[in-house]
Amino acid sequence: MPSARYSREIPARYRIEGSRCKKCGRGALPARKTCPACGSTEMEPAKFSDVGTVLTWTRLHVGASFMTLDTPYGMAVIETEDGCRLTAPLAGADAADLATGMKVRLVLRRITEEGSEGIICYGTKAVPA
Amino acid sequence: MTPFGELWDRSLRNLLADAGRAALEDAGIDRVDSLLVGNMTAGMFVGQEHVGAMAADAMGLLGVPAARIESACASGAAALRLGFFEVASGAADLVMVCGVEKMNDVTDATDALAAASDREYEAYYGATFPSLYAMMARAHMEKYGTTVEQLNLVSIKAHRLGAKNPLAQFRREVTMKDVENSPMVAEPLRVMHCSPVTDGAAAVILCPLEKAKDFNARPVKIAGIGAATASLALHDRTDLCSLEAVRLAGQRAYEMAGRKPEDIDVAEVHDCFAIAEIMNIEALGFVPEGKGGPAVEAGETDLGGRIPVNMSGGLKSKGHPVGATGVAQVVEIYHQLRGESGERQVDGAKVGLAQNMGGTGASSVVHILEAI
Amino acid sequence: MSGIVGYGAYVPRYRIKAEEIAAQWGKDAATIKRGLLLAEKTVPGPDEDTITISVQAGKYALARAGIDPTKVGALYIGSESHPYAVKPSGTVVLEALGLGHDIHVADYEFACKAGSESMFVAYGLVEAGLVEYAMGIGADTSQGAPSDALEFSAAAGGSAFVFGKENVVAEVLGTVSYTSDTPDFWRREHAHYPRHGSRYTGEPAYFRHVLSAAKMLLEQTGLEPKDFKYAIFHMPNGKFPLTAGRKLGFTREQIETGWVVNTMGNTYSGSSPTGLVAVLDEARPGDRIFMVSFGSGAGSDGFAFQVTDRILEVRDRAPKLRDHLDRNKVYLTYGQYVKFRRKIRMNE
Repeated sequence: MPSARYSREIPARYRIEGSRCKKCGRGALPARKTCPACGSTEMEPAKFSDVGTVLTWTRLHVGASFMTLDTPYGMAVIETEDGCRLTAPLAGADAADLATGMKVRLVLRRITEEGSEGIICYGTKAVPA
Repeated sequence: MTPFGELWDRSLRNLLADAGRAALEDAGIDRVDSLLVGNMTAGMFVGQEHVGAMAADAMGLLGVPAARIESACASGAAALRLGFFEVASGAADLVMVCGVEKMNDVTDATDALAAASDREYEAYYGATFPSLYAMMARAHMEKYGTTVEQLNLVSIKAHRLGAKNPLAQFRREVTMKDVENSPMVAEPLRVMHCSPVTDGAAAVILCPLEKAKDFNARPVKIAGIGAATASLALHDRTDLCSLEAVRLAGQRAYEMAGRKPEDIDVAEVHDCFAIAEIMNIEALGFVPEGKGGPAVEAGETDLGGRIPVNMSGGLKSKGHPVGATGVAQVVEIYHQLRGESGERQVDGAKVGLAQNMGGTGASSVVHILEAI
Repeated sequence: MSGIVGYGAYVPRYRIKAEEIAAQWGKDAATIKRGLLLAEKTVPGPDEDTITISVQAGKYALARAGIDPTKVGALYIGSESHPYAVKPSGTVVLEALGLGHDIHVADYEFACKAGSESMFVAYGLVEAGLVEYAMGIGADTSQGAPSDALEFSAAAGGSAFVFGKENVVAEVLGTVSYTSDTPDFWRREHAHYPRHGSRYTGEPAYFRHVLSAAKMLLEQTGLEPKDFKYAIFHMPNGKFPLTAGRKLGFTREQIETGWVVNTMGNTYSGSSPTGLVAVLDEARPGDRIFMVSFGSGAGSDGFAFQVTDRILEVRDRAPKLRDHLDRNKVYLTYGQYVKFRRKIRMNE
């Protein structure tokens, strides 16, 4: 993972900072110039809540290669309580009772690392709230 | 079209040459004015870019202008669409469109395929392709009552028809038990709900309608094309279980062709996962929204049904060499409209539709073809 | 007067029982549990480390402090399991907590007392008037060598404290430190697991430093054990802190609330700081708290606190330690434990 590519995403991945559309109110992650819902260019910076609801989910039994230590694990499309949508994984134990409508909290966790000598990549995971 | 499968002794350049030369021979020509190659990621699979130039070289088309067109799994149809415009604009008289993907040189295609999703905000977090479709499936099941059985029936139909397709990767039928017992990939999708990793290439040659009979006694006309995009990430879409890009692409194709969904006699749709076939027939207007599952269950999309879908065996049984699929779907419709599909033939097919889709539905291209 | 304005602790969900480890190595669980006074310990998930634990504890501390995070002028994290050998845990934590870029950061290492040292430095900067608020965190995910006694106790968890001069919930009445060169437990660079001097870790190490610092603290504050409601000592196992307390004249009742090791294990730099959080989760205004840490190598930091009225206002702003320690536990088999702790050699 190149350092520049990693560090650009820190505000979105560590602090759930993105943009909110002034026209339709929808949140977007990461920050962007246009609204994914209505196409408006009136976007303002916004930091979103770490509490959200599961809109849909799955449990992966064949997972990404960097998830070997915790397979099966969960994945969910989540909407924060203040209107931002994101995709976040759940640790295996936290995904045991995944259900649509479940309340979750977004926390900082290790996502992957570049072998034993590369940088460690952190990001957002969900846990049952 | 080459056979689709694990073609251990065919490299990327071999596949291009195989499909390209066969198409030229079929048309009785030696040269084209332009070459477009649909290919998702030769770069990640075999470390090769500049695929357009490689294709022209491998096919013996030295000097011919060539470029690679990419739209993830919709690369093939996206290339075909641009080929059509080159001819329609008068810029070229003979255009070859070749779709190709060499996927089996890597031992695990997952990471390359994840490039079709949002790399930083979906793949980064461990979302694989099956998991994204699994989430769409769950949303579809919870909203419309679609069942796992209905997903199973899609795979069963695919294999029954693929068994009759000499070029298909899997030519054996499967039972309900086979599907139910296959390993779970991402709940609720099992291995038997997922299209395979495949090598293959398919090529077509386009020319102006008025010149077609010079090359082919029974050419097939491209009557309509539609294309559209949607949010790259699944989570940015307003409705998580409908394919807006497909709906728009279909609408635009129908409009250009002056046709309606009821006019379609046979269709190839993008069944990268069983749920995708169900969602695509809804988006294309073949069945009402949410009724895809019941339609499959009732046999409406089978050979002999109201709207035969994926007589080739679909991506599931025929195989899914990503960049080749869009062109291969059109090749199938071409044969159907010429009455050449043998045991898989839809009687009297005159109007066909091919729908190709990229990623989780972030792009889609639809072609409507007619027998002339 | 400076003191703690916000605090919080986090331990992971996973646990492993002493029986499970003992069975693996042909040891007798009952004897070990009796000897260590330890029943189970916390285990970090594969996606957790000192940084993620510090972030969680830090969020709770900021919630209780109720301050604008960008006003934190310094952040120190003490651990013996920092994820990087070079690149401070503090930089990831400051970004995750939104502390802003106008901040002093460094990581501390002093075996198990790196956390309390971080607390001292944070307190010192605030007391000196150099920063308005400062954060000291002690967190660890230390490894115990397979089949070694420490495998039963090396656990994961951490606590965070925001120090300031206003809206203090626990005033610092006094603080001391007693340090010497005592090679009781160490780990060389690139070594996977620490080594220790077995029984040498007792009297000459733990007890010498803890008791010396404790006596210095009592003298500095002019107080006696009976003047304190609570006492917390570093908890490498269940026995040592009880023995230390008894030798100094503290009662079992005083030690009980902060004695979290028997179901948590030794969270190293998080040990006595987490005991402190357990106490703050319950203490009443006016209560005095006595805390002495211990870090091998060796040294002990002592703190005396007095709880203010404000603690009642802030206590419920974040989960308590026992919310994490006692609830939603997931027990692991030894196989899952070694998998999570990356003790299994995998393909690259």
